[in-house]
Amino acid sequence: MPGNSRRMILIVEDSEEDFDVLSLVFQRKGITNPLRRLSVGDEVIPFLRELKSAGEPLPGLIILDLNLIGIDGREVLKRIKAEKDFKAIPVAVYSTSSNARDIESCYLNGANSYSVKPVEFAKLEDFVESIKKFWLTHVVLPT
Amino acid sequence: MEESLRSEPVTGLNNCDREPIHVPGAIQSHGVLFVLDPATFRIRNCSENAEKFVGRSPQDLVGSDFLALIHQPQRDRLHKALSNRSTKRFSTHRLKIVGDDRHSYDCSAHNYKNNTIIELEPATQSDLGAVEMFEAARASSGRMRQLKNIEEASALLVSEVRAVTGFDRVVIYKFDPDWNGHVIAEAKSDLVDSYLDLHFPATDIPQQVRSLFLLNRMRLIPDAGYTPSPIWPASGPDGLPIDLSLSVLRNVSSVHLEYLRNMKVKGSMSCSIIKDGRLWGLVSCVNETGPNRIDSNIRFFVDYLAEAYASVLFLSEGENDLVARANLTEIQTELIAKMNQSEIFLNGIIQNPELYLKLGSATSGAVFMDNMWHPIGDAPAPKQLALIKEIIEPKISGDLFVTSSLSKIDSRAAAFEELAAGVACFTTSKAQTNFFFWFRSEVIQTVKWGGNPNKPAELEAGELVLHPRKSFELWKQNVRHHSREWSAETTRALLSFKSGIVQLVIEKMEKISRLNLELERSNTELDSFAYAASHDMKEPLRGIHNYAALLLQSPEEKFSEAGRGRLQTILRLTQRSEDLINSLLHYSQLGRTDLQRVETDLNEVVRSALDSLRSRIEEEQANIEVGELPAVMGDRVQLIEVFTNLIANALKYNVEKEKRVRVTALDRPSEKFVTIEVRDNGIGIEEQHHQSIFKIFKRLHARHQFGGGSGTGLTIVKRIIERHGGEVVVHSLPKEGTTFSFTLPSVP
Repeated sequence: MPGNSRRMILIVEDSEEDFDVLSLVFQRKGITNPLRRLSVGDEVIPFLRELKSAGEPLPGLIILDLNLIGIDGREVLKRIKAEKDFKAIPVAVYSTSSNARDIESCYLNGANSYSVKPVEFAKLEDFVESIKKFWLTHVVLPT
Repeated sequence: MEESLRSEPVTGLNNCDREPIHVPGAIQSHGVLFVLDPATFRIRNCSENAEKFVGRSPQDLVGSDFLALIHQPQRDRLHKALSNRSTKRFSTHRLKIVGDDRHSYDCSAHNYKNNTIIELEPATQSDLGAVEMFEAARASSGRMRQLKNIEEASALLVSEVRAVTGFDRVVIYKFDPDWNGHVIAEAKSDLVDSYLDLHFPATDIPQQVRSLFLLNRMRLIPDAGYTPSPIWPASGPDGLPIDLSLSVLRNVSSVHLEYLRNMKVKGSMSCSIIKDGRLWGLVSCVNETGPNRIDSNIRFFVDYLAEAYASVLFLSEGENDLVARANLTEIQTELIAKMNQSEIFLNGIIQNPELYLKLGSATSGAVFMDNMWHPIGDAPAPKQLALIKEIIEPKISGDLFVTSSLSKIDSRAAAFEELAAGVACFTTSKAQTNFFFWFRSEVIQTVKWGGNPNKPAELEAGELVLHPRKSFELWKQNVRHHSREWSAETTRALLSFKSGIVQLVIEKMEKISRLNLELERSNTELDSFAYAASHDMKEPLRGIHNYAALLLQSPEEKFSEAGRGRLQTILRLTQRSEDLINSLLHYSQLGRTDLQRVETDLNEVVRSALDSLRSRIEEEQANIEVGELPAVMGDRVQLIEVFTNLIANALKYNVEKEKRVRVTALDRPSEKFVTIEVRDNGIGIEEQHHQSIFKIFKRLHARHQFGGGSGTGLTIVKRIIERHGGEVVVHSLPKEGTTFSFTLPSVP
């Protein structure tokens, strides 16, 4: 949708390298959305509350890693989805874990998608391409 | 004791056992007996031969003062002794009757059952007086007490007694547990036959006589040809016949006199040997050449020496017991220690057969454990062992089963008696799964009986009168089908060994369950570790990969051909690392997830596995044959993985034109596990690799051959099968194909 490209994307990722490469690929794929990165799980809810109270727009999409510094991604997901103001924000879980238990519990806790981080660079490019096509093009994001 | 002496009507064959020998109503006529009122010393009864000794008839004597008959100064001494209530027995010598200076008498007095009984015997011409005799007795018994072994003490006893008494034959007659007698020592004159080592049946000395021998240790029959002298009147003031249990003149049973006559005995004396309150044996003295009267000094000597002998018995036998017990305890301790040191405690026995056999003083042994026989020493053959177990099994109720003659219980055991006539056995489990055996070989013993023991007595035709056996001719009996008896020490040692084993088993089980717990914990920890480690390892790996990919892609970086090649290698290696990490992750997950044990149809499982392999099977045009498979208890998803891995391997390591894979079940319906085989016609595996193929990341071929792979397929198969409680083995020869055979729990 036309407005999607202006929406801020929040990336919750503790690994510098993963974030570095991800943002590089975003750039290469021509994604112009503003990116915000948080690496500590505990910062997510205060950050969203601050935006809300300042009257600024909330992120259009949250890309959430599960292994984080501080409280981990599973808990962050629960907290986002437990708050009326934030539960509408789509959360795309993006994790190393292919554990069936993680996948199931994330969906049960309201994750909107679950992707396993690939080691292969080409697959990473594919992933980012999919994000662009799906979340940033076809999907109507909540306001 | 008193009870067994009660008189009962004579009704049975064993009338010797019932004859009221303690109230015979008469005495042996070489002496005279008076029964006194203990308070007044007036005569209540006397033997009818009294007139011969004191010149007055019994009718005249009864009611009169006994002491008036006795010459001074013995009268006063006797009076004093009899007046002392604490006196039980009293004897004095050279006693004279008033008005008779020529004869002197030995006097014995005792109080019994409210009677004072006085017995007078004509004094003999003894060489030694009382003091000398006492000194001699003390010297002999002193020598006796220094002896430590029974043989020497026995020899000393019979020779000393014979020297003092002059009997033709003096023997020690030892009772066995069944009261048969065995002559273990003898001193005799040349004129009489030897009885040494002869056995005599228990009926020769009936129970009642044995009881009396415990009470009154001395029995005297100076002249077996005597005519008894009745007591007048026959009963005391209480209306009962006079109890002569402690009398020296007591008239003996007519059956016994007949026995003596049959044995050609003219005079006899016996003295009891009492050990631990039990009649152990007798010093038995007989004369065949003529009567032999022994005065009270000599009787004292014999009695004194017999007591010294009993104390030697007590010490030496007791000491032997102690030494034997200490030795057995040492052996047992050593054996248990060896068992404890062995990984499998049975090995402690098998590697130390001499200790095991020594513990039971056995010639051989065997252990039955986990359905297996472990013979020890020269044991019977397994078939015979099974028979022994079959015979004994219903009989093991208590702690220890022993028999010295198994063939008595079951005649089939006679076939291997030379190896195992006697058996001792215990089982350590209630379920009777473990048996410990000791065997003793047959000992053919020759027992020499003094006459045929099977005909100990003869009945007079039609009458209930028992006659003692007449024949004392040597009668030899071979005791067959017997081993040596199992002694109290041995049975005690075996029982104590049994509790040692039980203790050991308990300790081992505790140790095993502790180890299992630790193992389980460490396995779980290892799985969590592998899981966490592989996650964390992936992150830097991803970084390396991504940056190498970025370098390779960015146009502003100028790499040579070689540089680009190296970057490609980095990319390839990171991908391989990821494969390995993923496999490790998968393997550890197998241990972390719970197994779903449900009834699972293997036909359906194999179909699913084949579905996932379909493209490859079609590509290879492989020939897959699947037989009819059973249902098992298992986790469907994991079992699909087992078959997928095995069938994939079967196709992968195969260079034949027509690749064949056969999946079959072995037909063994009754068992707890079903066996499944996956067979191929592939390249096969050398025997030396049969174990290592199951190790994680183990590969037998170069990475570029046979399509590569992470080397975890078989490891995962093995882990899944083992988690189901089954086993997997490989049968294979190079170039001839491979068969993986595994078991899974069947549906109950």
